[in-house]
This record gives sequence, C-alpha cells and structure tokens, in this order.
Amino acid sequence: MNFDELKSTWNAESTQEVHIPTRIQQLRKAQHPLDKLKRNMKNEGYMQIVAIIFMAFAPQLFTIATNTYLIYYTSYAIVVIISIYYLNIFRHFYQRVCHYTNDTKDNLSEIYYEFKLNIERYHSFGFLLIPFLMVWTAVYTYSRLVEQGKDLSTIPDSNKQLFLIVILITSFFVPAAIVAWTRYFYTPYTKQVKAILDELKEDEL
Amino acid sequence: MNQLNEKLFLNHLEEHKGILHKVARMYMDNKEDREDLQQEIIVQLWKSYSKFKGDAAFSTWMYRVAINTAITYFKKDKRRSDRYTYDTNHEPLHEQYDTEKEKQLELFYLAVQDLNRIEKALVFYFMEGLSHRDTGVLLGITEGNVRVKLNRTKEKLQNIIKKLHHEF
Repeated sequence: MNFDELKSTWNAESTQEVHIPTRIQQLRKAQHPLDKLKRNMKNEGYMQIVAIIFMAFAPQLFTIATNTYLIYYTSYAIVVIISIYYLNIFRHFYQRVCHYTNDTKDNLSEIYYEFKLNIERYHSFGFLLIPFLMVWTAVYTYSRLVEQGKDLSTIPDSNKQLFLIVILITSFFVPAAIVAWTRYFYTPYTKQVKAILDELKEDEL
Repeated sequence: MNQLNEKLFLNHLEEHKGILHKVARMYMDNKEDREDLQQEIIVQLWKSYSKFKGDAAFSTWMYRVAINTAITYFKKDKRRSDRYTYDTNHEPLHEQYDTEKEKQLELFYLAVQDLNRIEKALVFYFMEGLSHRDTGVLLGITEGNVRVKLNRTKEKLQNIIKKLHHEF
C-alpha cells in the first residue's frame, strides 16, 4: 500500500459535494444523539414541573379529607424542595455537556461520566418520590373511607394485608420502572461511548 | 458583531470544507448519512465557535470538533458504519473513475469502513499529515500509543484490502 501516493490523491480530492450554508439560520436543529438525549431529559424536566403544579391541586381535585391536608402538603413541600434541587442540577448538566472542543479522550470521558452520574441522579430523584406516593395512597384511601362513614380502624385484617401487599409491590415496581426507563433510553449510548473509550487505552508494544 | 462572527465562521468553513468531506467519507458509508454528518459537524462547530480563541489554527480546532462529533454520532435506526464488514456484500464500485489513483482512494475509503471509530480517527490524522505528537494531543493519548495503534491499523487496512482481492 503506497500511502504517499494515496495522500496526494487524498489532498487533491474534490470537495464540490460539501454544502456550506450561506446563513447560520439555514442550519437545522442539532441531530447528534447527545443533543437528542439532552432534549429528552429536558422534556422530562418540563413534564416534572407540570406534575408538581398538578400535585399542588390534587387534594381539591380528588376531594381529599381536609384533616389530611397538613400531612399531604408537608410531604408535597419536601417533594418541591427535592425537585428544585434536582431540576437545577439537570439544567447545569444540559448547559455543560454540549461542546466537543476537548481532546477526544477528555471529551468521551466527560460525556460518559456526566451521563452515568446524571442517570444515577435520575434514579435517586425517582426513588425519593416513593414516600410521597405512599403518603398519597394512604391519604386517598382514608378520604374514601371517611366518605363512607368509616375510618382506618374499620378495615378488615384481610384488606389491611392486601393494602400492605399493594404498597410493597408499588415500592418495588416504581424503582424497577425508573431503572428500566433509563436502561432503555440512556444506557445504550453510555455503553457505546465506553466501548470507544476502551479503544483509546494504551496498546502494548 | 454577531453577523461579523457568522461571516468569519462561514469563510473559515468554506476554506476548510475538505475536512468535512473527508471526515464524513471516513465515518459514513452512504451519501445520505455523509450529508447528515457534515451538517451535524457544522452545527456543532457553530455551537462551539465561541470557544475558538484563535490562538490555534482553525483547522486544528476543526479537526477536534469534527472527529469528536463523528466518533459519537451513533446512528440508531440504521446499520452503523463501524459494523460494516468486508464479509458482507459491498455496494459495487460502479462509478467511473478518471484515474487509477481515484479508484485506489475509493477502495481505501471502502476498506476504512471496517475500522473502529478510533482507528478511523488515527488514519484520518495520518492522511492529513499530522505528526504522531499532534495526533496524540488531539486524541488525548501518548505519542507512543499513537505510533503503536497507527502501525496496527495500517496493517489491518492492508489485510482488509487483501481480503477484498485488491492490491494498491
């Protein structure tokens, strides 16, 4: 293989087919997988904000017993504080990981570790919502019982066990669903980046 | 000021559009994907343009952004070009070439499709005439590592060409 000869052909190659826009406005929106992932995460962030606003009015919408408002809104306030903290971290992440100006190894490492960290943050954010979900279930169940002129002490033992099982299943299902969601949407990309990073490792002579 | 920046950027791009062409040819094996990648590299270059200080050559900065974009530009819906193997059926080389040299270059691009993303970057920098040291700086690896990897990649390329039953 004569590389010198090939290099001269390479240097003389026509570049006519390359289209350079005359205005930046003509450029389309970034289609890079990383930009798409960031857009997905950003949209999920907006959905979380909508959910938080909705949750503020949930007691009125679902006619929850007024004597449970204090419990509900205390847990809701905790959710809001946690959400502000996490959504702020996510926002910083979108702003930071969007350039490709470092050397390749640094660039790939940054993408890989930032994404891994963000996925873990995503998990913990989801897990932190489970206690709120339990408070909501208890408050909602209690309100329905009160409507029927009953209270928690009137629930038969068999139903209490069923209630406990439902709580346990939910506690397992929600984290599993969050992990499955990130594994489906985000992990394949981090795996591909990791594979390329491994290709950069030192070769033995 | 923004318009001036934009004009300056587009002029730089026009001057160095060969980089776009070659990176796209190295990383994508069909015309449609190549055009997509070229557009994507331009988008990423513009997004990062504020970080270009001008203390390095525009071409060096462009190499970095273009290769980093191409390396992480995974095609989800289509067959990935780095999974391209010479055992599969290649599209026939049906184009008419003006010279034997052009045919050789076409075969080179075909063989390159079977390299992994880092090997493609190494070969690209080599073909652009960069030293091992400069290639190492751009990739973030040592000069020695570049030398070893590049030698192995050249050997791999030769084997691919042999399997394609062609000799340069």
